[in-house]
Amino acid sequence: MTNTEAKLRKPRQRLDPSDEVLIGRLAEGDQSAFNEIFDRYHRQIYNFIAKQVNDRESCEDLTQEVFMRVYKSASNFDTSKKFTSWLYKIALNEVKRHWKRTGARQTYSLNTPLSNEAGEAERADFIEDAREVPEDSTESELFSRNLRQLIDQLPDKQRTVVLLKVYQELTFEEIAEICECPLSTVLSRMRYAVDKLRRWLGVEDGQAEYGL
Amino acid sequence: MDCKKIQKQIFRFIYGESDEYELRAIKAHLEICNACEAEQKIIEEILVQIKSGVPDDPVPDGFKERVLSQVQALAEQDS
Ligand SMILES: [Zn+2]
Repeated sequence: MTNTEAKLRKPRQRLDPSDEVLIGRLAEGDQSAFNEIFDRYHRQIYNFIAKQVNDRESCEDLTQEVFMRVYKSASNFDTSKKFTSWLYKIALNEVKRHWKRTGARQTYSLNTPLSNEAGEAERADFIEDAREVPEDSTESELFSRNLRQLIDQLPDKQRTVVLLKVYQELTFEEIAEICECPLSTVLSRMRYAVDKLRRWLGVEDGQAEYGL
Repeated sequence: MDCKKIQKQIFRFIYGESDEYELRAIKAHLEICNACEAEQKIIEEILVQIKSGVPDDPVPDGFKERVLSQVQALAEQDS
């Protein structure tokens, strides 16, 4: 693993028993299998949801709902599939249902292709927003807040890929399975998202525009 | 592989997910192409910034107990 790779993802541990074995046991009524699954994944799922839903109470409710669904639907799980893909699909659906229910999802700038100029204007808006935070915020708190807003404003499909890749550290192949789309589509969503974040963050452009 | 193809595969490369053939082709290309090498560095830098810029949200206290008691209630309903 290179240095950068180490910063971007933790090495994976082989889990014993496997998730798929555990979910099979849960389907047969083994409560302790549920506890084990919950221990393995609740932090990840909570974090995945918390990056998409701002209030803590809803995050907790939604995470709980995800695991209740796992509990109730264990016997429907197709054991030839990967458990984590199923789990993240459930989580994604819960978040979507939440947005539908509350109408809370920001629609600002969604799906608007950003020219460089528009990107500049949006960046100016974020800098404007940043002024509203408490005066004693540190620079890294400000950066974190702005970055969260930037990620929030990516189109849904691109944001999902970024969250699953960057923070959940899934492989692109796993993400393709969760999003039910070809690997090449996942890779181009990642490309578009990173290009936008790069413009917003004001990182120096590379020498080439590849127009993928 | 030309620059365009390299750029399509660069994310998989950065995350160590390239297959053997891609890996060899990309490494060879990066040795001779400054533009792609620069691009790779920039993307890596952005990815590190994005990752480290948003810390994990801690799970609220007592969350596990709350969920497990809900599940318990469900299980009792069922039986
Ligand atoms: Zn090149």
